[in-house]
Amino acid sequence: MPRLKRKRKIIIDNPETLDQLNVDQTAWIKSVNLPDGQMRRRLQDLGIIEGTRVVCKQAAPSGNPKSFLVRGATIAIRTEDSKNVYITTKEPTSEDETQVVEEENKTE
Amino acid sequence: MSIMCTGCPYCPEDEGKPKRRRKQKKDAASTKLKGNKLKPDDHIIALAGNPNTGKSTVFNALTGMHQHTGNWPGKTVATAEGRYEYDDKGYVLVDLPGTYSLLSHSQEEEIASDFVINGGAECVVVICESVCLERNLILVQQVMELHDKVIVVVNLMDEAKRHGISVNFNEIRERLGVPVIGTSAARGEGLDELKKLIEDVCEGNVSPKPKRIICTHDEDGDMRMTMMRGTTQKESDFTAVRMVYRAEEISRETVFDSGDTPAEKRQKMMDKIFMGRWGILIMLAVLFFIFWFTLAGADWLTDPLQWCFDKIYIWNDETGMGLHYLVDLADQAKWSGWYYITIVLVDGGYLVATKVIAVMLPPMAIFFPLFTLLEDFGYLPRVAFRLDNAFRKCGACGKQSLTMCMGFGCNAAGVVGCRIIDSERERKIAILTNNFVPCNGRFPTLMLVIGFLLEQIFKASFGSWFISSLLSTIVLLVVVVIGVLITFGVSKGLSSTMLKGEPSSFVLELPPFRRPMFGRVIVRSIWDRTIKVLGRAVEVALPAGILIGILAVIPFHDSTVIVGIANALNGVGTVMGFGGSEGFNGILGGTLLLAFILGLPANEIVIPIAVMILSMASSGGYVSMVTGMGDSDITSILVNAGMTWKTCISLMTFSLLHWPCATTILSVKNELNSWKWAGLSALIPTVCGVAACLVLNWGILWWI
Repeated sequence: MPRLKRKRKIIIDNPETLDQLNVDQTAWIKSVNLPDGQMRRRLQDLGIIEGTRVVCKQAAPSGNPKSFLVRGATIAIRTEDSKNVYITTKEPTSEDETQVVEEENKTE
Repeated sequence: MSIMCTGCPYCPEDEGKPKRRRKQKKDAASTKLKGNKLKPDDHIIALAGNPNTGKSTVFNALTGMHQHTGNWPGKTVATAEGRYEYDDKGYVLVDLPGTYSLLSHSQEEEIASDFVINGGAECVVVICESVCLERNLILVQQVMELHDKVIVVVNLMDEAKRHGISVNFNEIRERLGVPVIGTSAARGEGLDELKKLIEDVCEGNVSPKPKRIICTHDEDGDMRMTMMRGTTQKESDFTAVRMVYRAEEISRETVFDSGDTPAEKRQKMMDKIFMGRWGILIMLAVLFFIFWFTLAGADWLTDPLQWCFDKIYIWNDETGMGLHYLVDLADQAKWSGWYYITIVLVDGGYLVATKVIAVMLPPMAIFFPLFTLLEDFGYLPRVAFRLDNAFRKCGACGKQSLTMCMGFGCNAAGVVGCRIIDSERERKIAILTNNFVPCNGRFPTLMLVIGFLLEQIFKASFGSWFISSLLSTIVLLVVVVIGVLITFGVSKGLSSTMLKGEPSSFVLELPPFRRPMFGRVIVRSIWDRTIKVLGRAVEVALPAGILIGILAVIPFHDSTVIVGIANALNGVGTVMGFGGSEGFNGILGGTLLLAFILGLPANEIVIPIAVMILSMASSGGYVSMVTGMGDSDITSILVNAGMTWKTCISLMTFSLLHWPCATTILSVKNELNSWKWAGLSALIPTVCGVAACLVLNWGILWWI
């Protein structure tokens, strides 16, 4: 079998959105900014909300879709959706988390 | 949402959308669920849970029924109902479709939430998966908001043990306020306790007091649902976030993961193998081996089966005893009607039905268990993951690979399975293209023709069974791959013409690899297949055989009606490339076309019908039909009719690309609720097939 010309892997050191996350890298969700409300809800149902820890497990050869480990389950998402999910590679402290909850409480 | 509005997360217009969507979806989900009580004091129990948590396994284990199970999310699209008795009390179990939530507006979620609120279930059992309990707890909370009597079942505890996970049930019970129990349904562990618990809850001995965060006890079901959904995006976000945080908190306190275990390392290794760079090749190799086993095994089994049926037909050549003796007896009867009736029943019905069984049963009985093992192993979602990119480029959904795989088994099942695709447009594409993978009914036809083709090309047999089956498998694999490529092509064509649109979102859970229950799967699926094929033989092949028998005894000119029809179709058939070699002035072209047309109720009967008609025609009519059938070897009948390798190519092409069977067309009608789409689902492959046959026959094969 002829060796296929491989696409040069672009490794982004500091991924900002979920689709840029490299395999075996860990990140935390900063915000979910999906235009499609339905999809947003779907991700919430899977437990993908602000502060959720995600690990990229595999990428299809083309890099799309990628699968992520979220709360014990492996979930495949297309780049079209994951590029609207912003992430940070720095673990949020527990203060950040309580802040989010407080903010949510305020809106109540 | 208008097209102009790309939408912000808090878009108020968003609220309008679900309603519209809901109306569309309602049509397809017109069958509302209801638990049917056998006795008035039966208890109705609903089984809810995330997809692929083993709901069907629990259902089967409790009711002793045999719902199809498999390791991929979305397998149960239709709901099942079953009944069991415990302590002299009846329980009606309703297996709801797997959902991640009750709040969205997809078809399954509507069905599930509707049943939880208004279905009259006395108790809702929520099945959770131990390994990702945290995610499952979100749904548990939603059900708890809607229903008072909730039981939480943490299934797959054996898997948790392998993954080094332990769960503190008491703590979860404390925090949720509802009873919690651990089971391993596939091994039958914890089921008695579950039955006892269900009884206790229904009788009021144990009364769950769900600790809610949104609703109080006062509102009615629909009101609670509205409260949970929220009226604005912000409200619903707030609910969702609170539930996720609560689930996180509970699981942090109650689930203990002792880290990497050998089982997890194995999972990683298998993922590397199947999902790595060589994934596509491994996929083809897996398919190859399945086909190879099927081909080789079927070869080996068909002959003895046929021999048995022939023996029943004519026990002894000299004395003529056997089933055929009835015809001889009837011939001597006073009323000549008896003669025709026996000839129709015995020579028509019996011969076609047994031929269908002999040719169809072995491949199906081998293919299905193998495929089910693959399904239980958890491989299918990986295929969907790998092929998603291609489907995305065609404007379709990656889950279409799952329905395509189901199509290998049965196109009608594949069409129904398309419910797992959320986008209406992509679902239509998947439904219309499902017929491009050869279903199990067409498999044996293809196998037979391929065997014949190879024999024709290489003249003599190979001598080695090994090489010939290997070669046949390769040809079969090529045909299937061509079918898949056509699926891509037609999907692309549809999404750029009739069903225009952008590919929508795609979320697919990849379940862990699981070791299939070899013994049970093999025994079960062989048994199921055998019953099914026998059922089909009685249901479809027997009537078809009788019809042919009737057509074969009615005289027409100097021959019979059936030969006359075949003659009339001969021109068309020959143009499409079904005609035999030049020296033969036979009616092979018309016969094969007629067989395809008569095969509309079921693809299985195409070749048996063709063989029947040919043997009748060659022996000049019904009278000596038997002598024609004396040689039961299909290959030699086809050779005598003048079949060449060109015919084989056309036959294979048309077998891959022609109208689906009637069951499939009806399923399309039911799923899309329109005869237009059903017609289209038959028209598209037929047009493709006729075009391909013409191009092959006149463009390429003619020059050779």
